[in-house]
Amino acid sequence: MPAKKRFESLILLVLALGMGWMMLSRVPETEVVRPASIPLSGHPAPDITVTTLDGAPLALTDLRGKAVVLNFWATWCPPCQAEMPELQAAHQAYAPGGLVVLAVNQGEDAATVSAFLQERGLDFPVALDTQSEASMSYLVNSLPTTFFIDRNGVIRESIVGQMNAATLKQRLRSIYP
Amino acid sequence: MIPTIAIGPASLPTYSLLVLLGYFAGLWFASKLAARRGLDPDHFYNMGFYAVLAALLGGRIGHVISYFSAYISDPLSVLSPNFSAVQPVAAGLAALAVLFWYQRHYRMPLPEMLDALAGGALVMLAALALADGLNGRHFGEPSMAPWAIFQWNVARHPVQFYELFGILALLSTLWALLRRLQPGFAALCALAGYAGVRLLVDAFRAEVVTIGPGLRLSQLVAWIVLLLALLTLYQLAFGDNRPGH
Repeated sequence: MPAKKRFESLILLVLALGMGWMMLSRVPETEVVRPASIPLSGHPAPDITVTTLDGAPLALTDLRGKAVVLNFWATWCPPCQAEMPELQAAHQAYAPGGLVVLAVNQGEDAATVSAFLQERGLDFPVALDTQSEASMSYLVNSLPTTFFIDRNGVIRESIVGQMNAATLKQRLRSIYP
Repeated sequence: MIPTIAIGPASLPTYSLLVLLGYFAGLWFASKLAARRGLDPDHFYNMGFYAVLAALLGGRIGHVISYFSAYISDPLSVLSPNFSAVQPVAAGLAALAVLFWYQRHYRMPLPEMLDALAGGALVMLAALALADGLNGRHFGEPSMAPWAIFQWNVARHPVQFYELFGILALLSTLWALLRRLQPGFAALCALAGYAGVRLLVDAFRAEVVTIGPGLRLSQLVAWIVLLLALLTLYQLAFGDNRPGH
């Protein structure tokens, strides 16, 4: 068989087999696809329960219906300190419209965290994760790490490292258009 | 999953590390293919450097334009060494513009250059597939197969590694056949091959966007790209306007 004919056969074969493979591997309409709760963009945010500075438990699911900026931080972490004014500005600007900035402190006690917040004039919601259970659920490997969760509880963006006003504004668009 | 590796006291994220390694390995492989095509391999290291520089600069300018009000309140943040403050489309366009300029400026033959760049791109895609596998991104459907791996607490098809092995097979084929292929054909074969790999392995991916009667969108795109690449190869090889006809 000449090369031209062989190539034409190859194209027809790819056309037919490709179509067949796609039909074979299609997702049945009856199958309900429930995405797993994992800390990746496009997936439902894993539920966590943290402790507020008053000692009350706060579950992430309690915030369903609101856009959430979930920030993992610590007082000893310089990039975390540097992005706090931007988080405060976002809290002041967007909290009335239904945005919650929730800063989850990793491994420190309430007195240390309260003193830090008071010193810097920060008043957005802060919670404690003394046993690092929440940060383990979100596979937080370095601080700061921030997740942007929409009103349906789905993670839309995440960022590892310090944000400035522009990068925060960019990510906020995904949950608070 | 291995999201970080410890080197001494430092804990390094495997994803970023592999992206970086993949970029340099891609440049190295492109330069090797270029040498086989009779081009100066140094051009590819230079192109890689200029493309990154252009992407960072163009991406930052795009970011400043997009979020101008945020930069007005803190003008010095224009110079911040924050790699996330980059507008991806602007970065990509700037890198492409520089590659186009470089090719014109040094009068590099486009088909040979594309052959080398396609090989480099495949190496980068292999690194990304490995990074996805180590970080549990773009994971597979639940599976009972003996080679299934645990990701996100479920035994799943190691779909990222299927993709990795597919690309490695493609790379070795490309390397072996390069001298027998006309200039430009290797790039089209790489495109067709990668589309073929995605058409096959995306059947096992758990993260699905469907279209029409439950078809997986990524498979449909891969199938169309594969057919277009084959038709272009056919036209170049047997069409009336083939080189030298």
